[in-house]
Amino acid sequence: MSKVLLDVRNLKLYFRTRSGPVQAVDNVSFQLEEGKTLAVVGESGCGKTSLTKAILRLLPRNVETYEGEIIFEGEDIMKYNEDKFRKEIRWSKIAMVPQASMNSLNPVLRIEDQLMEPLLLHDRTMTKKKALDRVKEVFNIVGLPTDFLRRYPFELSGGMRQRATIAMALAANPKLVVLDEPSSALDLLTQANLMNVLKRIKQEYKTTFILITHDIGTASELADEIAVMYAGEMVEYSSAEYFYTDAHHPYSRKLMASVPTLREDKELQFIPGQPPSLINPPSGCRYAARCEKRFEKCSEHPCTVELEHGAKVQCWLYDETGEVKHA
Amino acid sequence: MANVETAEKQTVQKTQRTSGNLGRIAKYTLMKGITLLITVVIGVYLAILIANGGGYVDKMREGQIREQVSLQLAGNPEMAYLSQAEREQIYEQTVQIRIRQVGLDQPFMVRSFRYLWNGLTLNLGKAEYLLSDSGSRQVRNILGERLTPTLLLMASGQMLLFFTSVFFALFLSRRYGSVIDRIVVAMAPTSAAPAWFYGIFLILIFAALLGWLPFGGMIDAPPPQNPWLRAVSVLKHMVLPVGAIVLSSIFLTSYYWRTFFLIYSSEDYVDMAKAKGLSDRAIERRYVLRPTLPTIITSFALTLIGLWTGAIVLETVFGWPGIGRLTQSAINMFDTPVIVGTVVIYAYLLALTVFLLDIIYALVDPRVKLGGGEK
Repeated sequence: MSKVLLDVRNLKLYFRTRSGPVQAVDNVSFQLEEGKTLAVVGESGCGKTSLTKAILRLLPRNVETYEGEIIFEGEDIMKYNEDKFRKEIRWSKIAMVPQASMNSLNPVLRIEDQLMEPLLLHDRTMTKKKALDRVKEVFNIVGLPTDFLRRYPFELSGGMRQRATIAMALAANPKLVVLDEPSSALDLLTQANLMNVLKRIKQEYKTTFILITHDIGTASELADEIAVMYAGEMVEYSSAEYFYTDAHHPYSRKLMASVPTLREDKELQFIPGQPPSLINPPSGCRYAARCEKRFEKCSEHPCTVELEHGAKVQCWLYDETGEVKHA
Repeated sequence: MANVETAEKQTVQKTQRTSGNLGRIAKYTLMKGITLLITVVIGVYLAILIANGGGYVDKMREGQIREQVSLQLAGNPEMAYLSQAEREQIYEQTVQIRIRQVGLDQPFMVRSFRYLWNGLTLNLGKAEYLLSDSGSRQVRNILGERLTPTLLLMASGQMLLFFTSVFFALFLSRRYGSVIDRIVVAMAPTSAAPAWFYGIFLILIFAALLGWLPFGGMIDAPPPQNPWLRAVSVLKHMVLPVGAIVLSSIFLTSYYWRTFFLIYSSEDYVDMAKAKGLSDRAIERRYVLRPTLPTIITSFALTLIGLWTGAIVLETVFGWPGIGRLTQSAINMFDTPVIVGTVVIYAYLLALTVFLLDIIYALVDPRVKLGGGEK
């Protein structure tokens, strides 16, 4: 087993609103090994994007609570002050491809300038020429012609801009790249293309990825680990190998049942109801209201139990022995 | 080998593109120039039509001429020896000479086009009633004399207001929701009152009550001999009107720019810049100010145009000898040449600013390309 790169413990991110705090990320813990890809899945509004923001400390103004530990390469980066975090972590160690990454390029700067910017900023010994060479290199990796570097973002198509953003994320050789729905705004062909690019990068450069998506199918192509988020909590964390055939949490199972597959003929299912509001969520299991298997104990908050193959699940149906009770 | 060939091909293409670009820029500039010229011509002609009341003002002027001539003749003792018929003949002759002298004998349409041509060639002619302070009747002298004080006052006031509010707004957008931000937002409606309204209160407080600053005018009477003392005296007279300009709009403009910067600092690429580890100052400069530069430049250019027209009431309140007061008296006295003169100068300045703006836009915003997108 390779070493743990990212260890998140009890991460909380609450936003302040008029009607009370929104618990966007609530007590999330997970570990990610170097070179692995974690796919975080869940429906819209379950806190996936907030999780990326919390990891990269890209917080909006209305943060109420932001606590927990983020141990990256053995150091708790939550303890870094703003300046140290900016200089030592951002982009040089952890980079991101944001949601709607087509809009994440400054419209009035040439693409090469935007890509070189973090390189020149974080490495004092970097010359402009070296930075340009590196930028050309990453452009080749993502499969964009290097003469596009002289262009402005509006002269590129959406898919190209997305790739340019990925190239920007890779440029500084970060340990961890957080991809927030990198393909959601693209057509299927471009999506498949992008996934292939990411797969190749993963294999060749052993980059660690966190892939946020609501598309479980897409996630399966890249992921080694799957985390399922529901209403701000991480309800299941398991290796991709077992997750697709044997998900534990009732929500994960329903989620899997809603995905069409090629090889088997199954009736697609849907999950009735809606996720609870993240302002004053139920004190018990947050999924209980929609769960088919709920029983009395579900009105209390479930603990996380570890099962075989390192899977972790937050549900009363399981205990340490892994037995399924009341099923 | 292949590389060299493609490189050569690229250079050839590039040179071709550059020369094509030059031609396109020339064509674009010409087209823009012609369009703006047409706008200026129409604008000035409309001003001439309106300033003459569609020819009605000329009828009034004819009446005035008749009155003057009859008074003149009545006061002439020689006329008493002439018969009634002779007297009327002389009267009619004199009137006709005077009418021909000012060109009122031609139909209005013909004259309006002559005015237009003279106006456009800045051959502004003589004022009908107004005199410059040095006693000249030339419209050019009258306008020239008044332009400097207006520019001095308005430029100081508006520039101070513009730059203070933009930088103050940047500061506020960084401190969104803070006490000072809330105060500015709450104070914004105070800008509903015009500058002269604040001017009156400033005069009451600082001139009447405290006696620190002069009530109005531009320089002490008599003006000091020493040029330094003269400058100090002008500065002293400028404090209150400039203060009134800034005070009357600072909260609203700061509020406006602060909201503007807030909107643009929530763009995705600003978040990205933060994730890239850029410092706050670099983000502000390259990711907030730089993309919004076209808008800021437009606003600034429009402010510049606004300077030339002066502020009629403010100049009156402070007794400032500027172009605003001149325009007002020209309108009151139906002094067509002066009115047309101000309009012509204003139209030219506006057209020139718009023309420059278009070029500056293409320089600061790569999305604005010269002359269509054909490739």
